[in-house]
Amino acid sequence: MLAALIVSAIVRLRKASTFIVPFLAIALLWIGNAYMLSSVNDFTLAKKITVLLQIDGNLLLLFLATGLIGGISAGFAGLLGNQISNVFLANRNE
Amino acid sequence: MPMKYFKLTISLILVVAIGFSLNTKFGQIPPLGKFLSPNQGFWQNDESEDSFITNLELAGLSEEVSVSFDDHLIPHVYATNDQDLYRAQGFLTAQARLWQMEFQTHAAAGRLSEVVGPAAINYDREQRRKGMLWAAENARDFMESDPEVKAYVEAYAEGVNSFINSLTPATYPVEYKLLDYAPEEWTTLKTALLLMYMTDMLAGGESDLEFSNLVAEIGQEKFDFLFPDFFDAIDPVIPKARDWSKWEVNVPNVPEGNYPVNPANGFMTKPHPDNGSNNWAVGPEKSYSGNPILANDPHLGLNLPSIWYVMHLQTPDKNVFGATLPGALGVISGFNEHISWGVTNATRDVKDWYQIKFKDSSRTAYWHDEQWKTTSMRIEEIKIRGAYTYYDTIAFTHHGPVSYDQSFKGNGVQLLGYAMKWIGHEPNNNQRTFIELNKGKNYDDYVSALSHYTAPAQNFVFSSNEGDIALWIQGKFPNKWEGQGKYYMDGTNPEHDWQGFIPQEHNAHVKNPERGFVSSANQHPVDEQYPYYVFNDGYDMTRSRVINNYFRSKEKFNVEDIKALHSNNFNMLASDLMPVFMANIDKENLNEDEAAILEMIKNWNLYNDMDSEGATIFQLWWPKVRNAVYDELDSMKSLIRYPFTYRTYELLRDHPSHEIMDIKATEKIETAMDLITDGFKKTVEQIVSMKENGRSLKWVDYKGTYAGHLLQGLPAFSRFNIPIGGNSGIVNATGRNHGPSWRMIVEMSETPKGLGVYPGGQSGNPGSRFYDDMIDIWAKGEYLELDLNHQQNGSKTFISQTLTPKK
Repeated sequence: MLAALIVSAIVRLRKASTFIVPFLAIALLWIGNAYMLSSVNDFTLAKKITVLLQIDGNLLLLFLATGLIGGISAGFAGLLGNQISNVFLANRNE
Repeated sequence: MPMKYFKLTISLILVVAIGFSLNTKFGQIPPLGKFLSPNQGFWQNDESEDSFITNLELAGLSEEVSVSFDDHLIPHVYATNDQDLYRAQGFLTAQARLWQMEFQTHAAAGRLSEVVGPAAINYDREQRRKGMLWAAENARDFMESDPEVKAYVEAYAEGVNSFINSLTPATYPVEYKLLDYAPEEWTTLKTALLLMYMTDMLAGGESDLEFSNLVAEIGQEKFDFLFPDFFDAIDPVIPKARDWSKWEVNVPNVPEGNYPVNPANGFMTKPHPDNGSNNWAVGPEKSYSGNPILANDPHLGLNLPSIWYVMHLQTPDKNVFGATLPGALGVISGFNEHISWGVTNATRDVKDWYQIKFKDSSRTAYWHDEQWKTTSMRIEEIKIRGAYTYYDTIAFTHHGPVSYDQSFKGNGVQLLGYAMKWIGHEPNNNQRTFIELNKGKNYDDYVSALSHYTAPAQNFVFSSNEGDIALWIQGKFPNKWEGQGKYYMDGTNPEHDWQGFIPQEHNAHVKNPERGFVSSANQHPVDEQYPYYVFNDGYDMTRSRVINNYFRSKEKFNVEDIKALHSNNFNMLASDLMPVFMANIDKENLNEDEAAILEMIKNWNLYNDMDSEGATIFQLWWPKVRNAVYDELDSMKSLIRYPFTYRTYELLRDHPSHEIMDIKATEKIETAMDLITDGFKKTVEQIVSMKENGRSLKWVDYKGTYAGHLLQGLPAFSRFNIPIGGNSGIVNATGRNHGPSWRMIVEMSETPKGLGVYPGGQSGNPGSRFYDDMIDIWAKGEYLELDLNHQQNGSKTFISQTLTPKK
């Protein structure tokens, strides 16, 4: 968390979209996918998993957590990708 | 360094760190990245249309097998031959219950550390030291020396593996995802392990250490007074009228000499003391329809997934229906077109401890029969997830494994050990018994099938549509001298070894008795007239009397009567004890609360029905009185056991002023009246406090019956507050987490008609609506129809599967 904070402090504001865009895209994809899979079964297992993760019955939180996990991976990966292109492919900026 | 390299490096580190942490298991928390992913994680396990594949190829099949699942997902399997049938059984059982099959056999083999890590080391060591893995290997070899059984067990294993091979990480059962591991190949050894698992559960109990400690503390005379082998009131499995006098019997003589002292320090986990069951059969004269009626309800832990899996298995010459054990072949408690059978646990002391004197700390030699004999050493490898492999070296003597020694629960005396002699170690072909019962046609087939069976000993109830009923107490029983095995035995003295076994024909049995019914409920198998040595190791004194009294109470019975008996909540213990309690309560000196509660229990009808408050009061009162009777044993509590419940009742009723009633800590000399009254007052205090905390006094609430997931009752996958009455010791033997794990009734008409139910569901997937759909039916005392004439593609088919040979 702290690391992400430092990074975003260093990175210029417009570069924030290199994180946000992949984050949101994958988060929504995961949430949508998860919703479709569990709603056909009346969320039977999803409800049980909320008990397992100690957020009893809070399906919303479970979907948000799913989105968050997927989103974070994607967001940082997107960031990394941007850095890589910056270092190796952006000769024109030097 | 230029900023951009710095940013790159930081990003790289972050991605690696996040990738790692989201895909790694930390303690109990599953790898969140994998677990929450919709493509790979638990989201895939919510049941859907796609969960049921209708047409698939199964390698090794010779012809097509058709499977029709009904609306509780019971598979009706039709194959053209047994080889295909058992292959299909393996496949279908794995399809429903793979994780359970693997977890249970890992537990049996002492391999839980591989999955859950170091927390399971002591459990695994114990399993190895009990000789579970060793005995399973021997049993597998023995079983496979029978070519027919070998072929079937291998086909079953291949069926299971076909299912495993069809899985991808996305389709693993959810418990694999939770614990972050992958399924392993099934082998014939695992079938042997599953049978060991059951043997341990049902025939793994003994009280030798407890009895030895008690005798050392209070002396033989007092011990015998507290633990008589027979009671006047027993109603044995084999009716007292049975005449054994025509048998030629050889029983070994009691040897001279003493029992060892210095027993081990602490003992291994014991099976649940309530593991047992009921079964009975009424003959044609006692049945309204003229057809025998048979019933069985095994009492085991209430787990999810259930220990049982119901199947209907058919070939052109066989049509059998009933409960199977995932991992083993055939139907274990069930019926076919000619016969029906059921099992209750026939406890007998078949596990004994022998004190071993080692020559030196290498444990390579031990003293027996006036000479040093060599042990064989076996190194048990216990792999631990995320850590080293633990090696445990166990010395084996001719008795069996030396389970306790200086490295494991020994008592600090260097060169002593305790070896286990257990019938469970005997190589066996118990699987054959069920394969033969499944296709049996009459009494003779039943007897022949039983002859292979060694352990866990069961009271096998039987009935046929020819009108026969029978009960055979079957197991391989050591032929013991009087007193043998009750205490720790001297492992150096050959006269203390098991001298032989009771011949098969002399196992207690009865066929078509005059009284018109047979029954068993884990009570005394026989009375004192039986010529072989049997001692009381905790036999039932309540359910058996209720059941037999019921069958003596009227002329004829029908299926509705039998259903009612399964759900009978009459508390026989209370029926015995309450008159003694009420006679001994000092009614004059009660306060307002006490008088009110006494009135409540006085009006109790002695049934542990759901709404009963009297049942709860009794359940709070009785243990306090019992504990007070045995206060002299308090200092040794962990290493002894209390006398049996029925004996405690007899003491209170017949010996109220005996010295045992006195509470040592007090100056006053107490009698039964003091203990009963004092227990009552403490009970009232407890009840008043419960009421103040808003706790319900109703029996169903106090008991709180639940079915727990195999992962130590993981709440998310367990089912709590099941609405049912009864208790252990009652015919409806449903306790807090234990009870009738299967209920079956079969009416032996021309084509037998079966009813069955269990507290669980056919699917082992918590994401399936078939995970626990039978619990409410069971709790209400209702049953599902088990129809031998089920139409493969008829109206009762919910979904079909066709298993075709692989090209």
